[in-house]
Amino acid sequence: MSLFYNYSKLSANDEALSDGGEVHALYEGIATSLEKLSPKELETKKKAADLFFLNRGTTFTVYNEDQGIDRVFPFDPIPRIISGTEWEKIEFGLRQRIFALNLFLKDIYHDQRILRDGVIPVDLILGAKHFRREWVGVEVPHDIYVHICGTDLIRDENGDMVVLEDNLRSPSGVSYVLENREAMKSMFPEFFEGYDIRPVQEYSYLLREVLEFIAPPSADDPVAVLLSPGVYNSAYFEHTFLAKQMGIRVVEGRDLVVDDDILYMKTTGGLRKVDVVYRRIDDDFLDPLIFRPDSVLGVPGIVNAYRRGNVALANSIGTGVADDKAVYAYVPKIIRYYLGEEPLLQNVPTIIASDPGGVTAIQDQIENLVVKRVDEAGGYGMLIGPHSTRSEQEEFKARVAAEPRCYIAQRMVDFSTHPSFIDGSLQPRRVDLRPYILFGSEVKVLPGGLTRVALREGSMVVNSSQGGGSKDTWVLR
Amino acid sequence: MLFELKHETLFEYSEPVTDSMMEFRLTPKTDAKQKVIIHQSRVVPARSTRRYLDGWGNTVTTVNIPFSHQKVEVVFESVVECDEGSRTENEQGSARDLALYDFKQPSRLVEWTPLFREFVQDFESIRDHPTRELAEKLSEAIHTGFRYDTKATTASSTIDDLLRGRAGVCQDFSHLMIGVARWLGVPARYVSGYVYSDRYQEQTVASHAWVELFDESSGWIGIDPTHNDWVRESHLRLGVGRDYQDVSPNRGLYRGSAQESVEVRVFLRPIDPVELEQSTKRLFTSAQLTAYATRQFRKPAPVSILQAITAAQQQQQQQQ
Repeated sequence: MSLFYNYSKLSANDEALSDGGEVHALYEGIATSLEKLSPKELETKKKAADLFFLNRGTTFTVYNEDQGIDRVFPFDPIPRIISGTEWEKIEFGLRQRIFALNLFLKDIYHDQRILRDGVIPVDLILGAKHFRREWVGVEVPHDIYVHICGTDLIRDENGDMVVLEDNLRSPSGVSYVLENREAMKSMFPEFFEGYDIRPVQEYSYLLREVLEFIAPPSADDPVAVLLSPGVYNSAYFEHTFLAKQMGIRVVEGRDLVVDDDILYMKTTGGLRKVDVVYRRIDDDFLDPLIFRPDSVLGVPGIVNAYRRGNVALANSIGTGVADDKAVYAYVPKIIRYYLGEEPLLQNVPTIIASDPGGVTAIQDQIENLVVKRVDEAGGYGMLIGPHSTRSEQEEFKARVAAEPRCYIAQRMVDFSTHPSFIDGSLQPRRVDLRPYILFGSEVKVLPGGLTRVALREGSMVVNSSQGGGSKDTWVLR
Repeated sequence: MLFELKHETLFEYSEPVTDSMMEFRLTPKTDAKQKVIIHQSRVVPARSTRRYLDGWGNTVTTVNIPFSHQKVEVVFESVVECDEGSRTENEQGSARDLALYDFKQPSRLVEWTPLFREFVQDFESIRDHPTRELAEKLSEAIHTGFRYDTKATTASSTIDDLLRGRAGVCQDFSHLMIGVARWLGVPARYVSGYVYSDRYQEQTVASHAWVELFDESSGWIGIDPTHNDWVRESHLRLGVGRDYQDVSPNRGLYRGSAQESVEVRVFLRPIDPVELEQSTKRLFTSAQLTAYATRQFRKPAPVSILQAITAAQQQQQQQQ
């Protein structure tokens, strides 16, 4: 008997079921495959998949829990399926967004037209924590600031994909997209029957192309490296994984040295010039000469080498100002301002605390809102109104009043659920989607992206740092 | 007035260090008030220097020394023509609000702390006074209310340190004045530079700092709370920023567990226009830094700012 038989519609908005509660056409193939598997067999296969990840070292690191820090990212074997037509729409929306955000970054680090024209409050940009004055007026290769972008989407009550946030600094998670697909192919080959799925494995190749594209013109055969904060970083697995796939080296700050504004890597054969750095380290820690002087993760002088055009960085410096959650609220305006187009992907309606009346608007309905700190990521520093206690709400009311510039609030979207295999049966769990967009000689969007699952029943937090899992995401042709 | 200027910075280490990476903001500005006629820099051990303009329009000179070394001497030499006026630059049009934004907010060394908020209450009465009048009153109040004492504070002291000890140096007075001006809604910025000290009796150190306030009609005007005087032709401007941290004359890092001592010597003298040609010739031919070979270096100073950070022993240079 199919596991789908018992899958009741616990959510108003489930991706695998149609309105009548029947299996959605996209999922009929999966439902048929599941008919041939007993829950016990599926459980065994799922355990095998966990071993698959463990053996391959596909792990991540979790802070603030007492157990060991290396975890296997929990994997859910029921794939998420997105139709080709819907994906086309998402892809166009993401392209539009990354174009506009790059034009925005170029503008605010040069002419600041958008501020002079009063489209965005000056304070929101010049007062932003991640606005880098040090980078004003500096040219970057091809005027591209964000080469790698991860934009988080959720499906709202109407079934539309809406943007929750942009990650323009160093979005992580793409390695799980590639590994989840590998695991599915090895452990659940029968699920693929009857589906024509777009591949994801070309990502590393595309990323390598982007890195070569932005290399200084003088570099014939550009040497690229991946700069990692080191083994204690939550995404260290991903750093080594991507570097290996691209055929480049993982380095840490201490492996690099700058001389005469040229970046070198220390190798057993002596110093070797580096042309491109895929850095997975925040601006703050990148260069102790320019940013935080106490950083030991960075490379003294790398910013000046970049400034001189002797090395390229991906992503560029100062991109964090555009993924500030208060700036996010202005992205539809940013798109209209630079492109003269209507946004193809909508935002979740957002209240900015620092706007006139913003604090009161948040305080008055805090029990219905999701309150977030503008400069935090990874599910830290947020309050989910409907799931919070009175005292938590009071605490956040006070925080918002004390630092309005630091908070936004959003309507709580009852976003979509997806069947997940939990404790021997299929259960609805909320999912989001993080597609990955690459910007080099052209914009390329990886088909699908990382579907994260809030594994705790009823939970709305999908972040891996908060106990989320993931599943393979299929975009059909 | 023409000035000949020489700024020597000598770094000495108790044992050899490597991978020194330094930035200097020691190039005088060319603006409405002064004009740089000659400017050059040299480093011993011989290394090339590079320049860029930072976000405030200050010229930054960078140098790095990868190999093992125990002494570094960096010399900046300039000839600068300086006018009497206090006005320096003006911001115009729609760019004005954006350019002034940073100078209206508190900054890292100019924080609106509780102690500061208490102090600033006395000045609420002059909030809407014309900028020049307000500037003179603030300068007067700081000059009379605080004692000049080079031992009272350090390069990293805050406004609170000054308010508690009631004594400090030009850097502290400037920070306090900037803080009050900003609090009262007047854009204010920090200026690092030199003052030709024959004019003033109180101190002889040529490196100096003062304040510029933004006046709607005349733009940035300079005032010197340390001497309670408007900025004159005796003031040479190097750089501007939100506070000292944006324009510190030197910053840097090196690798090694050595203790660092820094000695700065500034020579500033007015010259005749007829001397200019001689001066030019001398500056461009003096390839040897004789001072480097002959001077006796003082013992390493007690380490106050120096921090041993990690096992990697990457250290921050002291700021002067």
